[in-house]
Amino acid sequence: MLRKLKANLSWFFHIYRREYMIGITFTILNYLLVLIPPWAVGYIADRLNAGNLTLTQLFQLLSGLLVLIVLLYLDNLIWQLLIFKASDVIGRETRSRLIAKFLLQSPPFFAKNSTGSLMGKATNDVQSLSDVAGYGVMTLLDSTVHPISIVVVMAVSVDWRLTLLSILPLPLLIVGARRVGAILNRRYDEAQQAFDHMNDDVLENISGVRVIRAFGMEQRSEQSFDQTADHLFRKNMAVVRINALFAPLSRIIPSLCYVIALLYGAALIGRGSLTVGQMVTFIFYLGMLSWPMFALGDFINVSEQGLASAERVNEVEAYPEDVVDSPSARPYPGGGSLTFAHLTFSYPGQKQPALSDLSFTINPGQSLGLVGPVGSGKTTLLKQLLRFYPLEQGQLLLGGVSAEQYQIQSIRAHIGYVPQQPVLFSRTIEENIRLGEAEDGSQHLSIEEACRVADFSKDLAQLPEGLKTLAGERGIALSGGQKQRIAIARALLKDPEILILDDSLSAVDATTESHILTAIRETRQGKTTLISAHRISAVMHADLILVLENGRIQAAGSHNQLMAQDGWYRRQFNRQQLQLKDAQADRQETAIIQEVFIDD
Amino acid sequence: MTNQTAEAGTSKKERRAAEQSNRRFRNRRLWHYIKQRRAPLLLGFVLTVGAIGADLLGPWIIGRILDGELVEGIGMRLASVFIGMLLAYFACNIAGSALRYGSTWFFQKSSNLISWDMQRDVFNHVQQLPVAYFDNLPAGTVVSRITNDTKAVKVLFDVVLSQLATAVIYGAAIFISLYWIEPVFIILAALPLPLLLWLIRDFKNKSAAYNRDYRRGLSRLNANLNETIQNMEVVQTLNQEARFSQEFKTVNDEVYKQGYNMTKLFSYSAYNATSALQYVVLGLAMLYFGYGQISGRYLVPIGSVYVFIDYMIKFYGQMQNAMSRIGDLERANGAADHIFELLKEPLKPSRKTSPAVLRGALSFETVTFAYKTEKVLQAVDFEVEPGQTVAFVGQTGSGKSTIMNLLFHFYEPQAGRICFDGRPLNELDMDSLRSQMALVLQEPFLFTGTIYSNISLNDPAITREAAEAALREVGGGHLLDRLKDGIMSEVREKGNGYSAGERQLISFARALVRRPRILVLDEATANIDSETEHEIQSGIKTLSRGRTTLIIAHRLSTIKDAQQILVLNQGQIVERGTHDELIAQGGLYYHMYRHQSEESA
Repeated sequence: MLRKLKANLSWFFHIYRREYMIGITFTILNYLLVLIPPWAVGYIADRLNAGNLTLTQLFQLLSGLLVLIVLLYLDNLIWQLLIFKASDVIGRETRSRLIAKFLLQSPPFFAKNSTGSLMGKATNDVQSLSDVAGYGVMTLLDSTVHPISIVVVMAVSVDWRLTLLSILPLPLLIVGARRVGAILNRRYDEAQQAFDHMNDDVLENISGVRVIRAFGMEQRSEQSFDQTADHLFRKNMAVVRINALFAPLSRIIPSLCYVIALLYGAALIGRGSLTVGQMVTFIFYLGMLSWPMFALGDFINVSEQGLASAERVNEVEAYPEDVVDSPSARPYPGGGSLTFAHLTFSYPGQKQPALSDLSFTINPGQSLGLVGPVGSGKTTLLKQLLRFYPLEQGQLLLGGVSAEQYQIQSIRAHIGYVPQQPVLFSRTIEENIRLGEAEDGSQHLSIEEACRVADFSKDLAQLPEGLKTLAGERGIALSGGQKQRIAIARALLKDPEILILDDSLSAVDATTESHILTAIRETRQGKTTLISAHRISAVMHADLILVLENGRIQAAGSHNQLMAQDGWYRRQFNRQQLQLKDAQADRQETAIIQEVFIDD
Repeated sequence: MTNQTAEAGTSKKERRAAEQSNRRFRNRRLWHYIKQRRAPLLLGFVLTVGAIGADLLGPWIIGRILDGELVEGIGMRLASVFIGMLLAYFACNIAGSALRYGSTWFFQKSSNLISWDMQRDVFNHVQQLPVAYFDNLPAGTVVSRITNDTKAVKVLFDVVLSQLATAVIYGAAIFISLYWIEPVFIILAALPLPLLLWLIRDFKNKSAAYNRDYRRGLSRLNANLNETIQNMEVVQTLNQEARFSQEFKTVNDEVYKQGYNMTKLFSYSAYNATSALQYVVLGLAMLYFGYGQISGRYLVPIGSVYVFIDYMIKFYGQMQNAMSRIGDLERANGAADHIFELLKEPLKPSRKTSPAVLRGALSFETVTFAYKTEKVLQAVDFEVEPGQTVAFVGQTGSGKSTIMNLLFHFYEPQAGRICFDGRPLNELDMDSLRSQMALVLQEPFLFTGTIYSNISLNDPAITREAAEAALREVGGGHLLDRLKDGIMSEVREKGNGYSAGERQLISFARALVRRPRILVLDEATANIDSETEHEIQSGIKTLSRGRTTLIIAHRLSTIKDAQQILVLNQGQIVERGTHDELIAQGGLYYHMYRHQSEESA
């Protein structure tokens, strides 16, 4: 285990080698220094007993002790600082390495690793690695070098037979502590599970509060919570029953050592080969041997956990990125056409391709509309441009050159993408929009201009602190439409060559939608815009409209061309018109109501 | 924000006063919990005192052995006494172990019981809080109050009651026993006490501050990381990896700095400083011991010196233990504050009144409701006759959903009355009322369990057969046929694995199986494909047949058959009538309806 641990952490022990060497040296020095005071007590007692100690000598001895106390303090200070600082540093380093790695990953990685497990790595695993580097190193030394040094000194300075006999029961302490520890760990896990269960139970009760109240379930859910709480209580008490065993263990076995020591010691004293003072020293030494036995158990625990954590962390660090720039990749200069050539794409682990044999071209300045039923591949198609997945079959060409020839970040720098579910981070609205700035800091639209085009200016006036209003989980509650419009403003900020609106107007009403689309058409002349939508009205002005079904292009053309065909497009259009089944009808009313009232 | 400026404005004195009153309040509440579990606590204390007695007796016996039972050149002075004393010593340790085991058990039992009491109190309190309380609070925060905070408070009892109290009792017991061993030792032991107390105080203050900042930094880091991982695609799409990385570095460095502060504190204080003091006491004892022997003025036996040093090792060990747990204390106090703050939240007024059997008539009489300062409903008036279907139409924020919230008494109107069968809502027994009403939400909420448990909501009166029949009746038969375990199929968290339509059907069955007199239905707004749409529409038809039905409509097409359509705008009813009447009126409804047709044309 030690070797494995060392292999996993060698990078760190290597960087920190000098500090560890010094730290360990001072730890060992400390082990030696702490042996002096018990010896001094016995020595002084014997000299006094023999009557051959003068007052001056006593003072000298005690001044020596004073110096020793200062030395011990400094020595402790140094080794603790060095070794526990290492623990802090490894925590910081591991965490930052993990985060750096996370930032490089694409969706397949996140599909394999849930957010929860990644968070676990960045928190618990980092903590247990940090524990190994500090507490683990300390307990390793405490449980090996320390007891050996005590036993050697006992044997040499007092009596080796007495030493061997007295420490006979100590291995029982190790065995006992290990046994108890193993049971304890199991019970801890069970208690933790009971606790997790309570968390889940309560979370459901809070999220479903309206249903619970409306159906008068309060009493039943209280009863069920009582059971959960009771279960947790039992599991916690099961832990206590075992945990409390450490106290008897740490008393009874050492006291056996004392009994043996005194019995055999009496015989030695009788023979004159041991003094009472030495006996006192010896008993103090025996008392110092308990902790190392427990330290061994602690060390094994900490290093077992640390090893498991190191493996989990290494798994992430060794994960090869799914999408990487080819070595010859160059920056994308921009300005080219956009071509899909027989592109077929499947999500990792899925048999059915999400996109099959797609071919079309958009010239600079043209717009593309995507429609089709849920799951037809609209989002998947749009995301191909962002290069989150490796290309498999067919080609994606930018200005006639395969996208793989270009650096991924440089392609993304030319794209403004607004996802289906707008994401706002826990920072101010302004900072959220500024995330759309180009990397070099050049920003082509002002924030105000971007907000105007995204039709967000009027909302800003109503927010408590305007652009400085905090958004995200901890911030103000914004409507879905507001979030979408902030996301649009963000994407517009760098005035990207390619703007992608992935059903990103679904939560705004029809009037706002047409405002935004008109404003976008005006400000983005000569640039490419790709729009997917459920509402035909959002795409009908596009130069090319693709109707997708099951990942295939089922029909393509302009609005008029598609309306001329008897297909999904015309049916959907008519349905939206006649049956008024558009899910956003409600929001369309908003605009109408406003209009009607203004007219009045 | 205004809060913060106000806080900054208050003087330090006032803040301290506020802190003090907060502490008093917290202690009073904690005391209330302690009192309820005093029996195991007292037992714990009694056993602790016993265990400490045994702990102190052991070294004393060894001291006596050293002091005369062991004679150089002879060995045991008297074998029988010697062996007897060793046996007594061993017995002391056995007894001490048993007592310590018992005291730990009782202390832990009481702290776990107290935590249990708190969990139930908080949970029951939360169950009775007005629904509005949950509107602006992430569910996770409330959950944390019930679970994490009660767990943290448990530490308070563990630390304060068992460890700190044990340390104090231990200290006191040692000082008292020293009186019989060698009274001068009391003075020697007391000499470094001021310094020790200062050390503990200093350590407590600093570690509290470092710990707080450390945890704050760490939780900020984790919150950011969680957010970033979940939205990695967006970060990468925006090419903001470098910025995020830099931001993480800043927070990570801050966390490191606070952690290292703790390391420094531990290095120069805590164990290191206290053991230095312990050695100073040892030196003083040797000085006193040696001076007496050499000068011949007094005689301290070596056994007493041994006992004294051993007691000091125990005493300082206890202090070190207590110090290592002080950090937890701060956290536990914070958790206790959270809990008591939540328990202070006023409950919705509960009225125990006569149950009523509903006919299904209901009315709003000039009902006005404001959410905070924002008026949501203004003098809304309408009447519904038993068995009628009424639809509410209007833009988002027009107040439609509020009507539902008021009907179920989730909120209290500021003015006006809501009546069921002519009797005001306030006079009716809420439980009996709700048992005759059913609610179908826009986004149906499914609980972990089975389809059956989601329909019956664990009401034993609803049989499996009834649940199954209800599900078939609303058109969910194909769902039952598709699933291997039928109605007993597992439902995971939030109904994952079931489509939106399927979830909706289950929630319809949940409503139907109760045969409610009044049905309140909040239509789904999400994009739903036409097949699901069809399923849901026929489900609604089944559901509303023969009962008073209120539909919060998001689509005009679904409500043409309603006996009454109420058009809401900015919290007021602006039009009312049937679909045909409203179309004929040529008002707002007509405009909305016509516009939808024209929009797409």
